[in-house]
Amino acid sequence: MDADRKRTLIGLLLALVALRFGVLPWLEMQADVRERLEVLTNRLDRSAGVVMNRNAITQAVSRLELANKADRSSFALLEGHEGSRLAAQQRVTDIAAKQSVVIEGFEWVLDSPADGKGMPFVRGRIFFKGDMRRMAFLLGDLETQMPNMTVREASHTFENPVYGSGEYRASLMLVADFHFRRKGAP
Amino acid sequence: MISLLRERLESVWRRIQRELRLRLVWQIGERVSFTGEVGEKYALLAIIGREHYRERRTRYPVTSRADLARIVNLETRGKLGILTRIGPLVDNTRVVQFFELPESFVTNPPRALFWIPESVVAALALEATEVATISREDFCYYVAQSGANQLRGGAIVSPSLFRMAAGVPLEGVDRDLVGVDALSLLERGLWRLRPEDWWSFVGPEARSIVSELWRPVSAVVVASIFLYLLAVSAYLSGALAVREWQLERLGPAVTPLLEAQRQVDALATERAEMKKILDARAPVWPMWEIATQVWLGGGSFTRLSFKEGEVIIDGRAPSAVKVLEGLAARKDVSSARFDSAVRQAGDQQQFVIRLRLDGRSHSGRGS
Repeated sequence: MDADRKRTLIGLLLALVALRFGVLPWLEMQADVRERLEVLTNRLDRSAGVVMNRNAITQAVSRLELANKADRSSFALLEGHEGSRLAAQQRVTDIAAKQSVVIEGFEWVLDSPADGKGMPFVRGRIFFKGDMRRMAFLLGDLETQMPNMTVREASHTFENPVYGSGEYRASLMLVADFHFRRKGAP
Repeated sequence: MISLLRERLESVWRRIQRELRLRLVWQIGERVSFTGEVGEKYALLAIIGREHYRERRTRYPVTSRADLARIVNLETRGKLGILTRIGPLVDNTRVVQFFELPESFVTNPPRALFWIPESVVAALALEATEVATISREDFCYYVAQSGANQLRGGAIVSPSLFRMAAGVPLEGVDRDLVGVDALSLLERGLWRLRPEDWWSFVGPEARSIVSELWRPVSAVVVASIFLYLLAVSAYLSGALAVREWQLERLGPAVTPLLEAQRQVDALATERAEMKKILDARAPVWPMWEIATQVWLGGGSFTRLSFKEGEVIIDGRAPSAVKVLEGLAARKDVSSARFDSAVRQAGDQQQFVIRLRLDGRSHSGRGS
């Protein structure tokens, strides 16, 4: 009886050892190979796809390069938010000077998140003062000469009621986003 | 439809029951199935008639059932044709029933998976005060719920004498079962067998099949698992090699093409971003066209604002409604409305109008 029991226990022990050091590592190895196979299969599918669409891809690169070229000129290629703020301020100051409009204040209220999706931008709040007609031209110039600018708010206030296109003193508060392309971005 | 289905199911269930009852046999002088038919079919279960065995009982002061089973195995080792049944623990002792079968059973065993002594199932089917007299041809015995049973003869010639001998109360029902009448009693007793009793009564033939087969079956199972793992490994290794070869065959042209593919994705993203910004730009200059409309209505304004596509004019006019009507009539204006109550200030009306400009884009801008 004792011999039987001993034999059973030894058999059980051997089975457990075989499971722990034989079957389980074997199964883990198979799982690893399966993962590698999946990665290679995906890579093969992608590679076969690009080889098959070789011409279409080449054409798409040329077409998109051409299409983007025109729009890229609207968005300056800059290092980051600091550079964008400087460039925007210089440009706005130039345009305002041409229209003899005084810039009373220039403040930056927001930068786009560093890891945010989409094109980066800086948001500025600018205060102008000058003649009403000049102010209207200034707004037109800003919109036409700065296509990277998206006006979020423009508020004119006048010292006296405006009855026509005469000479009136006006203030303008402009809130706008200035978009730019970041250097080194994919 | 449902009644037809029910009929079919009932018919199938009846057939299954009949097949099962055909495989339950009562081994008396002949082999009688629970359907009453006589035959030699291989059975799932054979109830061994009381006339075929001698029964003895031994009490053991052993509490562990497993230990007692080992002791009983030692006692019966080498002896063929002995069935045993270990009873429940009572006062730290257990009673073991030994059923000794004749030589004929050893040489020509009944073909069945389970061998169950008749007196065991008959006793299980009875109530506490009941005694059954089971007789057939020239054989008769008495049985009580306690399992006590006695062949008729000697001093025990009536159920009442058996009651006194077995310690069963005298006032109780006596059941007299002749021939196959006992089948219903035995069938009821089968349902009351404990699981460990079923294990005790596995027939020698079934035991020898299990003891002979477990090794080869285990070997087949282990070998199957091993072969399965081997086959999976072979398949995975082969598939991996094939994939690597396929990738290699595609050659070095793939890398620049993949790079070009990534470039297409990046360019398309850049295009979408720029387009989104350019399309979303609402032109601001048309608010000066709105200003001229106010002047045409004889009005003036002190504030002119643009915010998120809406223009707000804070002004005065002889008739604020006339100004609003003039603005609302414009095709490029929608939802023109007073933003606050119109107030009379002398001969002028003070108003705040809010309106939305539609259908404008930078491509249509004026000089």
